Amino acid sequence: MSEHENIKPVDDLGPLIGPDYTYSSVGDKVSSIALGGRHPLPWFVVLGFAGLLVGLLFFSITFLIAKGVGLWGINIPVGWGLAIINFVWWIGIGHAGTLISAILFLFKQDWRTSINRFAEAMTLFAVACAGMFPLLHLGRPWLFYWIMPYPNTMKMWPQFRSPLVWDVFAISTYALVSLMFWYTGLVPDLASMRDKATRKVQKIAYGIFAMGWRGSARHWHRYEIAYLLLAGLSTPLVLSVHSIVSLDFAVSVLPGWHATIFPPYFVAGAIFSGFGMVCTLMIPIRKLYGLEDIITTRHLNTMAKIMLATGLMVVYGYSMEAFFAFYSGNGFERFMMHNRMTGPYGFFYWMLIFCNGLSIQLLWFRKVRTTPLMLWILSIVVNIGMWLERFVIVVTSLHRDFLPSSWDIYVPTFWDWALYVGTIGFFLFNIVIFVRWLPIISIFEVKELIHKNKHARRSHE
Amino acid sequence: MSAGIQNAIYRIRKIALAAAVLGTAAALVGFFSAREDFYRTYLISFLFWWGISLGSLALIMIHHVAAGRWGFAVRRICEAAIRTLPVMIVLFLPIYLSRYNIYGWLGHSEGPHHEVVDAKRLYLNDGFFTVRAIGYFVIWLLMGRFLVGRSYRQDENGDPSINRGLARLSAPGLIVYMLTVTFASVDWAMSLEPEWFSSMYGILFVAGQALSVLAFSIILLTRLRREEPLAGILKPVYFHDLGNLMFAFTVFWAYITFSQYIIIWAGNLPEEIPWFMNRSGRGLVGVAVFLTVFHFAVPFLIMLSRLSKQRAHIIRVMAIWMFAVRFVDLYWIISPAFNPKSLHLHWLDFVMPFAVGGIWMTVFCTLLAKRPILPQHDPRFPLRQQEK
Repeated sequence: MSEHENIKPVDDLGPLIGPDYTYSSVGDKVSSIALGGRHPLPWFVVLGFAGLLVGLLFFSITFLIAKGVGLWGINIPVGWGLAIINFVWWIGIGHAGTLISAILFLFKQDWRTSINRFAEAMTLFAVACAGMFPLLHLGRPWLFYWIMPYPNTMKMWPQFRSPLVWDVFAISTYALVSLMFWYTGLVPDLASMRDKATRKVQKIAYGIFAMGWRGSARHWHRYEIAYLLLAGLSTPLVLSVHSIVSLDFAVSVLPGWHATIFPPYFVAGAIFSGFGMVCTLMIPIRKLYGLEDIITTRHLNTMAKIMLATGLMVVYGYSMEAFFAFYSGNGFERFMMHNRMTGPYGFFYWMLIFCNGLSIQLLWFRKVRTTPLMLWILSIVVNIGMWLERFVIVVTSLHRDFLPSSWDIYVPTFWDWALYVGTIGFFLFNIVIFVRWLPIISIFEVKELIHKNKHARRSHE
Repeated sequence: MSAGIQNAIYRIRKIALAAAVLGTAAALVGFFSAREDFYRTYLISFLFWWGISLGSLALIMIHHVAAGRWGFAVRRICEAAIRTLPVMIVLFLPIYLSRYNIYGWLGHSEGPHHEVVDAKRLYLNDGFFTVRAIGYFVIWLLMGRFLVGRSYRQDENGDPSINRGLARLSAPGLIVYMLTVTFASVDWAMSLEPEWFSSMYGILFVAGQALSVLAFSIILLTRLRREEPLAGILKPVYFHDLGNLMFAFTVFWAYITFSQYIIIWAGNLPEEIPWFMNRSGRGLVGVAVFLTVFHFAVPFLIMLSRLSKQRAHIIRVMAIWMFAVRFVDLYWIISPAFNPKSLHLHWLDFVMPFAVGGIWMTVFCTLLAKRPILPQHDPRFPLRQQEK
């Protein structure tokens, strides 16, 4: 029994998919992006630009490994600089994909079908970017396996009470489950790409990855069960991954980090930034490839509403941080908040409040939510705001701790920025390649949507 | 409203009235014989039933924003619960009048942490406490009046534009709800131990209220489901939806409770850890373990299955269960502030929830019976099509 039978929408934003689409036309439209071979000029521009940045990434990694983390601006007390800020930022971005693919699936939200494939791919690439930072921050990244618990001749085990070890499990589980989920969802589409492909190489490549999918009733039956189970498995990950990232900070006793609200506040922020990134990427892509009637205004409107809701939760987090810093009656807590607002990094705090607190109030207006350009600009502001949030949390809490004699100022160096910009390039490069080779919209799920619409229309008549 | 439903509600009201009369009499005995326990148990019971009224406010606003199917089934229940708010003001008066006996910080400060408490005087002072309490109730009353009034008006004229107005208020209304409940929980509960603080606290109350009101609605709906017009409409799918929500909030409750615990445990700071020390003395550890197992683990496993949510009699048992453990959770949060480090039970602990609840339920049932049990002309919920 679906939602449509009982509840009628009251707005006038139109359907989730253009009315003229048929089963075959939607398949042709989506698969032609990858199979057609003709790409708009911006695709090449982004590819070239991202390629350059990937070069910068490899260069800065090489130099970092040769010289050590002293290249960065980190010092004592700010031992966690841009590396951890970027790590949290990237991990957060991935969360929209998991939310869309798992939770919205379980809640039978039809609108997810046009954007889930893309958002899941984004999750994978974002996790890949995130994973680089803690590894490189180790100083000797080739000894990364020391953080894994394994029986060894030294009888050494990692400190299981440390959230940094929980992170290892949380992030690797997250990456694996996201990959499985994404790939499982791709299999039926890979098979239809195989059948549509005209060039031999393409036929073979898609054929191998489609793993012999023929679309028989039994295949579909098992597929549905597997997908439902994976959705169930992924659901706790939406909460757990960023909660554990937040515990990296919160289990310490540092004012500004040690706050009980951190786990849900980080999760809300993660989903907020994730939807920000989905909008940042989706809006240009739907324009470039003419997908406006598959990723419709209704989708943009809904994503914007989720951004507004999660953004407001984040603002609730900021308010609670500020209020309880005062209410604690603790001098260090109060100083931290005072320093965060008026200290050397005060500008960044107020910029963050502007980006994440004030600017999103525009999303109350439907005009803003349904105008792609405005939403796109706002989504970039949100991305910046969420980066600033992590900067403020990491740096302002650390740089002036309990002992004034140990205070210091943190300024990122060229190499900090090079690595960050490099991962953005890596992320974009992956996205561009993904758009080139794989169906960016889940073809068979959109077909199901068309089927459902037809069915609903018939029962109305 | 059909006679069947009305009779069923009046039968509940009869029991509630009996509980109210007997409970109030017993509570009065308690007031004169065991003053300290009276304050303690009254505060817990007040916060519990207040949570149902306020949780209804939140649930109905979520419904207006998200327009889920489940919302139409609980709408009238929530609206009647919101309309009990004036009674909540009266029920708050005993707490307000005895605030000097309940809240230690209102007296002159003493003890080892008085400097910390003195540092909060800007917030924790009698005048501001009073102003805030008035402010909360005024805000809740105004919001409730708008939400319930508009919805009733739609019953009469079927104006579809009312939905938009309700949604428009509900989105910012949820923010106001979050903030007011957070600060009310700080004022009325957290400040019992004035040196302690936790920024998660407000969310604990918000999640608890949502859970309580969901359990309450399911209990009531499963009780009334055989009466017309509900019998033709309340298909298993409604209980499935509501059960899913109750399941989700059960998990969310566990998540935030555990997060708060692990962060304070790991930090082990002298201004924070006493809160858990006070709640882990003899017997209280048992309550904590009980909550872990029966407020989370067992309900989680049972409600995970689809079957348990679609069968009205199973979800009814689960709802009654969750309703009861919500009270145990509040007991564990509040009671040790009065009697730290060991389990303290008094006969008032068992009487008071029924005394306050009896009064609340009597009013609630009267209000519920006055209106049709389902929204009559909501364009998104065409009753005639439903009955087919």
